[in-house]
Amino acid sequence: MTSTRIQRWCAWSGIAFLVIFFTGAMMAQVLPPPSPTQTPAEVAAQWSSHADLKRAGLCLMMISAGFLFPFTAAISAQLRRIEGHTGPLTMLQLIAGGVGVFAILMPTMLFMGIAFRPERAPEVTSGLMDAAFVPFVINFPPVFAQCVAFGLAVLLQRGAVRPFPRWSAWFSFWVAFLFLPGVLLLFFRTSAWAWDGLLSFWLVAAIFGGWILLVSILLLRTLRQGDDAAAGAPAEAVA
Amino acid sequence: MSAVERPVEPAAAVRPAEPEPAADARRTPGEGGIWVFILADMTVFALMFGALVLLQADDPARYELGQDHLHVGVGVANTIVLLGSSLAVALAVRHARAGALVPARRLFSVAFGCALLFWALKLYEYTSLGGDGVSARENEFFLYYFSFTGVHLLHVTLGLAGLAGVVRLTRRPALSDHERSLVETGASYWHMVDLLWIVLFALLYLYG
Amino acid sequence: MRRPNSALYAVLAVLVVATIASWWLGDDHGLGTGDVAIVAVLAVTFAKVWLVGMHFMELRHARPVVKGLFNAYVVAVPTALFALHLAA
Repeated sequence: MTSTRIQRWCAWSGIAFLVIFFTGAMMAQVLPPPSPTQTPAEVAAQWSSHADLKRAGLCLMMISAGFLFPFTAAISAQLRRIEGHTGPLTMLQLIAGGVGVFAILMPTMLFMGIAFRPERAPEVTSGLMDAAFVPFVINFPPVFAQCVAFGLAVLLQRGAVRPFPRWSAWFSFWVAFLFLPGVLLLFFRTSAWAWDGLLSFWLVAAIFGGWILLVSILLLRTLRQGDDAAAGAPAEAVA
Repeated sequence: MSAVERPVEPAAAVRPAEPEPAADARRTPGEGGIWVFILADMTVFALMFGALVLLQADDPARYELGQDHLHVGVGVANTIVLLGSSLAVALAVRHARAGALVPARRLFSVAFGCALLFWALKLYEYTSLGGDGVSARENEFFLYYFSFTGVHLLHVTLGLAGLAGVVRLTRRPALSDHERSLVETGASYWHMVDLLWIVLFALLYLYG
Repeated sequence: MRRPNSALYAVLAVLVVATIASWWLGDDHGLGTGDVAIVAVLAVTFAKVWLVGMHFMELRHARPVVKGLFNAYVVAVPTALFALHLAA
């Protein structure tokens, strides 16, 4: 029972991440994304205006990343029930989710460095911006691995242990697949593939948020239905 | 959308009353979840189609100049190759359902060969365009041409893996319900690859 | 196997003919340029998509949700594309 309640908090933290992260990103004006064609003077001017609001937004983004730890743990708790033990998919999801936190933290902390002293030479700010924004959008391997591990585990569900609907596996594969072309943003500064483009940024941001929201909801649903069994402690008894 | 669904529903409500569940009609092929993937993926491609339409409207002359560099013949050939592979897959699924696994495997292998041929023709076109000095960097038309056909080629590659898996499945003496569903899942995905190329081909080679 | 496969061959024939015809039409023989040509290309293309969906993908008898969404796609996407063309 206690484990169920903890897992419920963990599932809610996925939703908390979304709310805090996207609020912070809008305050810091990295959402909507600035154009990669901005001149150094424009980049510097942007970071100089409302500097404290941006700093506060970046703090929220950093804090939000912490909520991904329990969210990841809650997924692996359910994957462990499916695998029947701490199998490779449970571990893969756990590792990838953990590193995914870094994928958020690393660019966020670079943004913090920019926001700390925006009056420096504009070329420096512009360079730091490139170093922060490219990894911010391009960094797909952690969440890719997370989605694939989740999807494979869902397809493996047998017998009475079915915490997730099967279609969520295919949704996950689709999400994972869509992250791949994001590497194109390294090559182009304009068009739909630029770091502020329809396909490189908006689509990926939407499906990344959508996946976390969906999995959080599915976790909460499973925990409401399953109660004792869903807590996962005597998982083998169910299988 | 609900307007489209409504008229179909009465017929669907009648169906379960009929016997004969094994008939190839009256059911969605593959496992339900693959249709989430397929419809979602088609939606993403719709965004790419929109990008092409906007690009053409922005500067029709530049678009046409880009199109003049493309080899329409190769595009048509690739379309026919994929259409043929789709037919092979559709026929193979019917054989597999009827338990005729030997012809099913043969037809799936034909589709696999078509997919390889598609890859080869695409590589020929890419290298030939490269030889013409065309690059994605200097011209937005070619940026979209290379990236969108590249994303599609990624789908073809995944389809090659899927078809290979289906060919392996049909090597078994008989298929369980689950395995038959897997065969249909792979087939449905492959038809989507065909369908997306039909639109990409039209927009890139003919449109405007 | 109960259903004759000839329907599938017929669908393929239609698709191939449509492909070659639209190539020939696009190649300065047909409708020229402008909105008419654009509507023609979109209509032929998504008619082909619909044929692939109904016959090769076997969506004719699929669950109403899937079939309905597919049909909606085949109507909505070309309509939206043409609207984009007019708006741009």
